[in-house]
Amino acid sequence: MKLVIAFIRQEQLPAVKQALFNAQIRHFTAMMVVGTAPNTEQQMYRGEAREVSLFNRIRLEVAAKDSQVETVIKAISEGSMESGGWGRIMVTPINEMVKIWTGERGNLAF
Amino acid sequence: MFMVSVPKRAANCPSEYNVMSLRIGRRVMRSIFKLLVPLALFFISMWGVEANAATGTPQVNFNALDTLWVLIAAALVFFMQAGFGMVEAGLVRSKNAGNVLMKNVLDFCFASLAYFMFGYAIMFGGNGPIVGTSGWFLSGATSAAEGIPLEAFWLFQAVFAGAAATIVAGAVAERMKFHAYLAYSFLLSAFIYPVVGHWVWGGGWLAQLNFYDFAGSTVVHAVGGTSALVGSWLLGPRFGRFNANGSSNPIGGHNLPLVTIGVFILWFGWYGFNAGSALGASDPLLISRIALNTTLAGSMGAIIAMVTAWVRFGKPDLTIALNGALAGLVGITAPCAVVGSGASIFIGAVAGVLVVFGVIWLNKIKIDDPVGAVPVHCLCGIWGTLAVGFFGKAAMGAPYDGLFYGGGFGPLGTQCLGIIACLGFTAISMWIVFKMIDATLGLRVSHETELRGLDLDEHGLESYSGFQIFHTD
Repeated sequence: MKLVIAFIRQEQLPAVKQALFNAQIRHFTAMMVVGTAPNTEQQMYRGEAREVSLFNRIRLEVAAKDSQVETVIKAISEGSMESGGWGRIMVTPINEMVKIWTGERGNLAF
Repeated sequence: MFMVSVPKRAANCPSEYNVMSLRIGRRVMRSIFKLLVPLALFFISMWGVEANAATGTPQVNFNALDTLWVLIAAALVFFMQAGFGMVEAGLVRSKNAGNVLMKNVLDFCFASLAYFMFGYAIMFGGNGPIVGTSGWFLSGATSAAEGIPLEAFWLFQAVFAGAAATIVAGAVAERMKFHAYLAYSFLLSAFIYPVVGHWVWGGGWLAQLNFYDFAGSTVVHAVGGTSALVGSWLLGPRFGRFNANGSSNPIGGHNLPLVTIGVFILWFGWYGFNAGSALGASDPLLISRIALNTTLAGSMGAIIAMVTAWVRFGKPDLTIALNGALAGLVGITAPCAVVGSGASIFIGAVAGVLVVFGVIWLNKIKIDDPVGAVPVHCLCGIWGTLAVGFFGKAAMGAPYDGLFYGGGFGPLGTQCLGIIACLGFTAISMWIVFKMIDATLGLRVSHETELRGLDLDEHGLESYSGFQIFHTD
């Protein structure tokens, strides 16, 4: 079992979500987060420059069976490439997973 | 639910400071209410009876149409309070929205009481050069407008007092204590606004000098704007607004749709503010001209402010354009009855430029005005009053011809004198009022309260409880 974590931009979420759905991956969580970037950005508010250093991002988490991991990575990448291709995908092992309702563990808990 | 959230937050706070100040504040407020409220209610109930008896004395020749128009206009101006509320709520951060709305509601309530008790008597109680002296609590007061009952005339004037008071709320937003604000709003509408009003509209010395301010560019807007300037200057900027090295760090408003609906409401109310100031509908040409001029100046103010911001800052800024509309409307308030439509367009245009440079200038001198109340109301109020000296036409009802119509520099001098006198008086008296409040109640909230937001600490509520928007499509 692996946890696939992806950081993408807000505007990429619809396409990434669609790509995951198309790949029959229908269990994931999207979180609104803020993060830094190599450069800051200047915005104008009422005539004054505003230095913006934290940007809105989406953190996507998908728990996947080992057999699904490549599908998930491919789907997220495809969706992301549709609008700019920005983002990072990280894969980390999951030690244990429990389905609360049934008490099933491991791959049975999906 | 609200009851629970406050102690929890206070307990999380490392210092006991907030809990203590809350407790002391509560004790003070309780004793004030115990003593003052019954006393005040007692006196008001007595005076109210007499007032009714006084106004019940037969007066002759009321004009139904004029009265109806004044009452409708009063309702329109009253609704401007909602406009101010929305503009100010939208331009502050979400953690302070409830506080600024609370101030907008309560300052009108305090203004109407203050104006009933003292304000009207000072403003319209006789022809003394400095202040009026009769008609306290409306007892024995008379209407200053021909054909309109005292009650209607009082209401129309009271909503103006409320407008002057509420201008300040935006400029001092996000950092002024709530009860300090209540004290200020009572004092302004009871004593300071009425004195200026008496000078200009109540037969005081400026009226005798032929100083002309039709609907209140100076009396309402510049007085409110000057108070806002003094208030925000004494309070100091919001925490984090200016960096230690002197650079500035703009703090964005949290809801621009609210600001926009607020400006539309204000504009809507302005037809009552300006056209209602004709104090009657018996001259259809006059009120129609006023409505036309008001529209043109407001539109031109928004257009020119937008263009100025576009050229200076690179993008058309919504809040600046909205400020520009208000600037044009404030500018046309004094001259709306006595200028032609061409002059209105010009007045609105200049106001649109002034407001943008006013915003820049305030930032430069490090006075923090979250909503732009000072550039809009003070600066453009001054410009509108001066504009009468330039564009006023005696044929339309001004006491003189303006500079551009052969009146010479005399009228302009009178307008300048009036502005200096009114704003000088307002600035000095408001400085004293704010200093007095600072010494007794304290003006500014604690640093912790400012960081957590005034909604939670001052009122124990969240304006957007449980509110989150997350769109994926």
